[in-house]
Amino acid sequence: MAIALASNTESDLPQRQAMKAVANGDVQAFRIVVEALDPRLIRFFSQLGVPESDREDLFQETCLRLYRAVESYDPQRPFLPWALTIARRVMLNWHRACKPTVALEEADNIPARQRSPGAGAESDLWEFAHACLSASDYELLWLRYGEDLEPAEIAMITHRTSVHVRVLLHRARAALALFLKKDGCAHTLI
Amino acid sequence: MKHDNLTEKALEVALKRAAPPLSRADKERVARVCDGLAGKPIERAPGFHHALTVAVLRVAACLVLAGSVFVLFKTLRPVPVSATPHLASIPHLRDIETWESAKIVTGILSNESSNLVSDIATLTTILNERSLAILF
Repeated sequence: MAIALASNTESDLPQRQAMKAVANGDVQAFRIVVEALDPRLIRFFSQLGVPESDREDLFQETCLRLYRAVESYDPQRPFLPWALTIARRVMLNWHRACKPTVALEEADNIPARQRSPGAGAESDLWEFAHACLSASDYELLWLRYGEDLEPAEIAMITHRTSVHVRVLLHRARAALALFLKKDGCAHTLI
Repeated sequence: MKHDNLTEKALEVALKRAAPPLSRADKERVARVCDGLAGKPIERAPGFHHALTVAVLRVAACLVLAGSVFVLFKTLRPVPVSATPHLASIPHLRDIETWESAKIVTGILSNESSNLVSDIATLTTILNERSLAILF
């Protein structure tokens, strides 16, 4: 069973203790952190558009950074937002570094990603949101509802204020609802 | 409005429900990552020495800034200009009213001018004499 890792301070206690142990010299304790983060970060990278071939590299890079920065982590603070902050930076660096791999003349042949989330196909909702919303809006929605983080934690990860995050989330939800309404799929969600 | 709230709530629930579930941790991947980390150094947290260096640097920066501001103000300070140069020989115009009468003024000026004329005449005479003495 995958190790659950939530943002509240009770459920990420093993990770925080492990980080403390690593800081005190018990390097083997970092395996607990890696095991807990593996499904979470792979899903995070997958949802934010990182291809499967690069996910492991990003995961490894994130773990390396977490390991190196173990002494700067404060065990009193929640672990997941801190880890996601680093993972997000790694991913943004990767996005900046990677170049388009599809020639322009072939780009027209690529099928559009946008698909309507029909009845009984709720998993397509995130795909639909990814196609409709901007990357920033989609990321905020994912952190809020996919990762189940609080706006204050998202604010810490994305370097915004909590109020700003709430406003952006509201706008993103409104935009998504509008797209769903235009697409005639809003009734499937009620 | 009520319908909008309901839609937003339904959307939130749908988004949470549509999130793909967490899979199991990939043991091989975890092992690869842990093996890759073996022997990697941990960055030491900045200690007292670092904090002291930062504090000293900040104090130095403040001193440099304060010095720069002081020099700037010193060089840009406008030189105080006195209102009116006080020349004792020139009477103030407002003093004209205090003069007793225009007649006295006229008398003084005419005396002065006659004195000047006589001085100039004397000077011219002396100059003529001296210059002629050189020639002859």
